[in-house]
Amino acid sequence: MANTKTDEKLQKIAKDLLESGEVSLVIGYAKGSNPQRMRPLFITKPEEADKLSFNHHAVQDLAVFLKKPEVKKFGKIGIVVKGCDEKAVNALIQEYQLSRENIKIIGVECNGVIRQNLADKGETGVSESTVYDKCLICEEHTPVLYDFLVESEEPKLNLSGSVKPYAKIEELESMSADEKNAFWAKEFDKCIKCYACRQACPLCYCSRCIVEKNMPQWIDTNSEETGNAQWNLIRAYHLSGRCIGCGECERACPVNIPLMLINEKMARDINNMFGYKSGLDINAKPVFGVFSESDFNDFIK
Amino acid sequence: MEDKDVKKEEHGAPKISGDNSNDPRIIAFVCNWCTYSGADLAGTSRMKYSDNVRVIKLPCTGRIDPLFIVEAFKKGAKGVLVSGCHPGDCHYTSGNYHSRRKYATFRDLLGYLGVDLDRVEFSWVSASEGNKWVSIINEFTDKIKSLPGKSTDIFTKK
Amino acid sequence: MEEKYFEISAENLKKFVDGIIADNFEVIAPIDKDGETFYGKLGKFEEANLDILLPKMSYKEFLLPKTETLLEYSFSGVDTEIKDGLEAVVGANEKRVIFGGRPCDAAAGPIMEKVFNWDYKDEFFNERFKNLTIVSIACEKPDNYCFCTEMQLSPESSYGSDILLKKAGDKYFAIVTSEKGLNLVKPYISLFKETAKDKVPADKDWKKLFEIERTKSFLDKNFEHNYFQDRFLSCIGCGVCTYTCPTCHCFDIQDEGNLKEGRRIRNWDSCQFGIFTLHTSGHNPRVTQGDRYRQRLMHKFKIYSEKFDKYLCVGCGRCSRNCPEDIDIKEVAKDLADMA
Repeated sequence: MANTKTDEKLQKIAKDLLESGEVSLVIGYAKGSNPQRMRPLFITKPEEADKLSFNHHAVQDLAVFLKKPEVKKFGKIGIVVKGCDEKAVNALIQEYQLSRENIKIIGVECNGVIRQNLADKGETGVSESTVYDKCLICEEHTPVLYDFLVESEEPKLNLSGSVKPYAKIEELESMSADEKNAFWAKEFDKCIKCYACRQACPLCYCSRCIVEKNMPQWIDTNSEETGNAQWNLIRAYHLSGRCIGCGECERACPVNIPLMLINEKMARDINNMFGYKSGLDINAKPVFGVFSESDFNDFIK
Repeated sequence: MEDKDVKKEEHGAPKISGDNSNDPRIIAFVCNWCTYSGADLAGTSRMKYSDNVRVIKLPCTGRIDPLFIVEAFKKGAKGVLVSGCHPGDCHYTSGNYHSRRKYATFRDLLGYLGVDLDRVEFSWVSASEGNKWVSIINEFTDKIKSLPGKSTDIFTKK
Repeated sequence: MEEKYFEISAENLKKFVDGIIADNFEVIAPIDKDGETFYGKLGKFEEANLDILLPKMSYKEFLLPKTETLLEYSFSGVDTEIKDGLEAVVGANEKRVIFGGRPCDAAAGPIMEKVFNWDYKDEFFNERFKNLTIVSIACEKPDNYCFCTEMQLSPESSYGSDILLKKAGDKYFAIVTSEKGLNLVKPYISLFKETAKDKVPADKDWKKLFEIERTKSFLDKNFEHNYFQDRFLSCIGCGVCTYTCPTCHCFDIQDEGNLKEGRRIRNWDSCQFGIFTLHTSGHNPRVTQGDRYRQRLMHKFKIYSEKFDKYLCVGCGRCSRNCPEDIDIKEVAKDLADMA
């Protein structure tokens, strides 16, 4: 696969950062296990920079690695991020998990990534019917914050309006409690408690997750109705107001639970109730760290 | 707890009722400074109210984690009440402001996942509102008793 | 039992499968669900998708459930009553047929059986395995993630299958390898035409990309090698590899309950989880993800074969296909073989 201009720009930025010693590690994308896949790449030497690449198969959210102790120990890190992933970096900075000085944000303009399950079957075209729902509602094609920006050579996504992203959310909102219960009970029944959703999420960084607490065991460990529903509920709650919508949880889930239907819904409701969107401003205070005296009160007797 | 609540089994171990919709167990998480005092006032004033409720006292609604609500349902509660100081009156200044945001979010999420929101209630009850406490408990208990037998299924085994 | 060979037309195969469903066998086959294929309960033959390479998950849950009750207890105040979870498994006597799996999935059964009957006989596993009849379909086109051949099996291997079907135009050759398989066929023997071994098409010559023995010999001598720490920086410890793998079988025993009643269960676990080897002292011998992934490689490609003469991997490639960070275990095994 010949280097594109995007690749060359990326490689030069990484090479310079490593040569100057401004960072000791660059996390980016490289060619994956098949021509329609990319994978994360960790480079510590300038000469390794020529393996870096970026295209519409770069689905992974590389910000997930910033929570790993093995990665943190590199100190100053350069990271290649799409707009959605960059919001995760911002959210981590907001929550004091990362300091702005220790991260060099190499932003890439992104016009959509192809769904990996379609890509694995050979799909290489970027269109509203092949990309993730998150791409159809994305307002951060250019990352909101960056130290370097690599422009995209790909055309902007053509949105005809015929594909409605997250349409199921509105459908669910209009259902009765029993119907909603039936829908989610069926989805959570699939859950195998692998916790891949948690591991793939850049914002699930607790060194001891609530499920791992056993005195008392708040969340049942079983992979049955009780354990599954409790886990998915609590994770969704812990992400409310923090989730930046990268969709990695849903992509990682081996049994295809539509987790983004919950996370996106909560993100919208948090915005409606409290006027807050996660990951857009590193100086903004997290939504549950502050309050307003005029917060929504109607549901309280 | 009155005697009728405690059914003695053959071997002498007390079995607490609350497992059925006719005699539902209701858990109330309340803050120490306002609602608990309000409930106390109701008691010292000899006001009568449904005895299905079990009150769990915490320093502040800010301490009341939504996980407690889940845990109450897991253990068989048919209804959960959370009550604290009115906004502006929190003994710890802002605990209830923070919890108001949390509860709004948690309630929204519970509703979206299909939990019957009639089974979860939030209230502000001050230390002088003994009769508000009584009416909230009585109304909530009646409501829970009237709901069909199906529990909050996502927390308990069917 | 000596292998028996039959021919069966595609139409008769449909009758056979619909027949055993009607006979109250629970037939598990690859079924499409929301755009992907998983093993699921078959209502009728048409629902099965026999064209895909592999369902996303293995059928391990029918041998080792995601959550299994080992025992239940109840305390009346004086006496404690304990109920063995095995009673429910034996009592259920669920006769199942896995239909349409591949030779790799089939091989997982006998491979796992070894550890479940090693220093302790796991009756839960054994009871379920006893009630399982495996009817596999040989592969015609493995993809680039498959490496059953390198794992000393093949896309046409009958190891672990009670019946192996090999497609030949509009009919199948059926190789029946066991009494269990024969008993399944007997009531429908009229649909099958007995034939001779030399009529069954010979196995193709499947080429190996690397020798698994060389992978093992690298693992034997290079525990401290930097490869493990560097290569697996991209592993997020999600456990999807373990959970979708047909041979991974680690489990975690948990207790649920209170003074009055409760149960002891075992859940699927993964050596890729951070707390898998966390001691109560706080020490964790496998503290980096590199340590943990190295363990996976060791268990599959070295330790198991030293104990049981079989590698703990059937080369199905699910771990690679399903890995969110695109770690390809076939590439890794080849890297290790090249470095040996």
